Amino acid sequence: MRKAVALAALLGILGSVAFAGYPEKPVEIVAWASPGGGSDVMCRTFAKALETVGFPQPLYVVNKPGGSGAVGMTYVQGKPADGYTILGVTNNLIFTPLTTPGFQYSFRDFEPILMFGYDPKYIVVASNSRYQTIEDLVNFAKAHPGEVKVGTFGPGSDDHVVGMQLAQVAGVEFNFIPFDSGGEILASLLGGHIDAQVAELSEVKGQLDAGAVRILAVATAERVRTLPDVPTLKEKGWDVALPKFRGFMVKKGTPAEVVQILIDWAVKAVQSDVFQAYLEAQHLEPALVVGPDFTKILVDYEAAVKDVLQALGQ
Amino acid sequence: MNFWANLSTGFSLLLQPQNLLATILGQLIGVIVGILPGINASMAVSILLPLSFGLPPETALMLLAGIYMGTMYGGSITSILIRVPGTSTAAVICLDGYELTRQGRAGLALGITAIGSFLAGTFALIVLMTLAPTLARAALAFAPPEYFALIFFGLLAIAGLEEGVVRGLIAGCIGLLLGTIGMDPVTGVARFTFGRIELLDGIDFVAVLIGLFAISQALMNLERIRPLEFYRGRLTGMLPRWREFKESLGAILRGSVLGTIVGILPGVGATTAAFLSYSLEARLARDKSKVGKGDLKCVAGPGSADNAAAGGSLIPMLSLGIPGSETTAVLLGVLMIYGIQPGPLLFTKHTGLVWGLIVSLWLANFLGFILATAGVRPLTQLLRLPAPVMSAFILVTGFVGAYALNNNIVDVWIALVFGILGYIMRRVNLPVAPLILGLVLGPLAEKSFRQSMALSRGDPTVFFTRPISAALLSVGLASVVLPLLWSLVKRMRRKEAQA
Repeated sequence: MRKAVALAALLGILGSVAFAGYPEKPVEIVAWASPGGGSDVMCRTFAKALETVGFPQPLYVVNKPGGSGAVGMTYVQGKPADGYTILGVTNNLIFTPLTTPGFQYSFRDFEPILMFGYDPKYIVVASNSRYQTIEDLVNFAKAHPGEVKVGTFGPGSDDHVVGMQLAQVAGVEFNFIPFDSGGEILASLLGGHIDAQVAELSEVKGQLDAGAVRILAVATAERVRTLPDVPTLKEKGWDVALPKFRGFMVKKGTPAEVVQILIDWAVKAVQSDVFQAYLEAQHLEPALVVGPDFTKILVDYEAAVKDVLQALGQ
Repeated sequence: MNFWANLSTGFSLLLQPQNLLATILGQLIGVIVGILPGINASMAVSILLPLSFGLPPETALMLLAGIYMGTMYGGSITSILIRVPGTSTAAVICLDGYELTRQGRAGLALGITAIGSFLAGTFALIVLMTLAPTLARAALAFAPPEYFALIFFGLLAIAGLEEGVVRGLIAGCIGLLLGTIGMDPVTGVARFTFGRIELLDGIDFVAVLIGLFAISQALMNLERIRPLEFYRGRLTGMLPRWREFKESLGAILRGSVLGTIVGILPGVGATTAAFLSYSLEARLARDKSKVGKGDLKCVAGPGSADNAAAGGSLIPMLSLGIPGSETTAVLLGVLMIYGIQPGPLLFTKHTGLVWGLIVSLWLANFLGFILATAGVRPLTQLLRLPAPVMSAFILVTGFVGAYALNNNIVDVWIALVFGILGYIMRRVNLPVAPLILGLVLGPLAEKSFRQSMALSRGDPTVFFTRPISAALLSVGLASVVLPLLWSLVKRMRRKEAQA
């Protein structure tokens, strides 16, 4: 009996310093998309990158799709805050809690590891469109309220909110047409059924190279590295900047030491060749923001979209 | 560059040992993935994607495209033999395929699906090689009103699926109602989700199907305290005879054309193609009483349409860079990972890659056919398993398959609930097929209808002023109204003759 107690005490001591040895078991990376979705590719590449920089434990990507990230967030909240479950996040981290009535979690329930970059949102028209510049589009919409058809992923999606904010600050009215996939939106744009779409570069790059579409503006604070000739909405006087940030988080309450270890590994991983090739191929803008600085971005982001999203959520 | 030069470039790429191996391996993996319920092509392709890192891009693409084609062959096997859909694309084959199995004609069903798949896949690939850019551009004319007309055409079949029109309509309406669960496509408001985030994206129809078919069957057996009613006689008709092949040839050809067209359209994929083909065959059937009770044409049509759609969806993917389905969206992502930008320039900038892929798909399609035909005999022997073992096997496969859909226990509950509903429906003699058609096609119809109304700013004439949608809708309506008029005329004549 005494032996058992001594053993237990010893194990207790070992346990309390366990995080020093983090990671000592396999780590799960949760993607809130189905296999093949954008967040899935992000998580799988991150896992691969961590492996190549020598992360000492195996990494598994687990798919928890549904409810625009709500299922994935709930799943991670149901796990212990020990750093063994990492969540791949995008701006749905902000959007979903605001648009899902009764959803109990928000970004405040997560501890940031890092943000590694973002997808800028572009205003795109077909190349045979009558709109040569973003001013053309906005002026036409001003003169003809509700006639400019804009394709998006539907209310609550970030491209829809970009469109809504532009309409708001420019004082115009768009006719939003909701779609389920980027392919459908693009086909409708090329087929002339809609006038414009809000898109990420990876969705329209092939068409851009072939001269089938034209990019009128980008919804970021500053011009983007990949397409420096594209004006921002902001410089035209419409302050709309909502990039789709991408990063990784763990559950709130994870020991600070563990978070720090994770940050160190994650920084190494996103700087690896594997991950840089992914950023390049997906036309993402790199932007490394670590730990609490990421939280600051999230707070500002939430403030920027809260009104328009809550109006939608009614 | 001419056609033959391109073709020979393709062949020289394919004949490199690693590429041949990749194609064969991809096809094998695909067939196995197809057989496993709950895992579909796009999942398999994404999960196996990391394996392909380090391979040259054409080899990786051949491997993954091989998987895509393979799943189309494998999926129907589980549907026919144990009535659990191996993939969502093969779900509709459960309806008549499993009935054939119960009649001891599993070999026939498997055989005709394999032949149909091969012919349909070949057809789609010929179209891909000869007409890809033209057709992909033509498909851009398809706007929401046309999608609505096409889906509506499929939904009309609900009324005529089985003998009882009223029963069919009841079941169909249940399906349509179930299809409204989830986020409203236009306003984003949650409908009938009871606060469950898992229901926001709607209920997964494959989970519903597993419940309606597999689980309800188990409940029926419990009630009778007798083992599953499996066909105990000789498993005859391993392969279709000429007569049976001739009987289904029409369905195969219709399925091939329909599937290719639906595949090319970016908004709908192989699953919709299979359901539309089923609905078409059910309505064309001369003997309506056989539909849902083991009509070979209702197996051959959808079995062909999904393969054709898989091939067809490569047409906009390769010629325009627009994905025609979920899996081609993943394949486009693969190209991007290799730094190859998909888009209208792909055919000219990466001629070798594209034609190598096309040629490898030919091989994959042929291999799938060989595998599926060779598999008929051993697979049908599975049915000789003792009934209790078999029914336990079906239940376990069903539940595991439901969980694997979204890695979520909610889908298992959905399967269970629909198992009970399916049991009730059997007891009160409500047909299942209209419910499934309503559930699968209903949300698509709603979405395209509301998109159309948004585009036209509330003007309903949009459906009749556009030629394609007007033509589809009038053919659909005529097919319902004309038979009614015809029978009315016949009755009047008879009365006249009597008078």
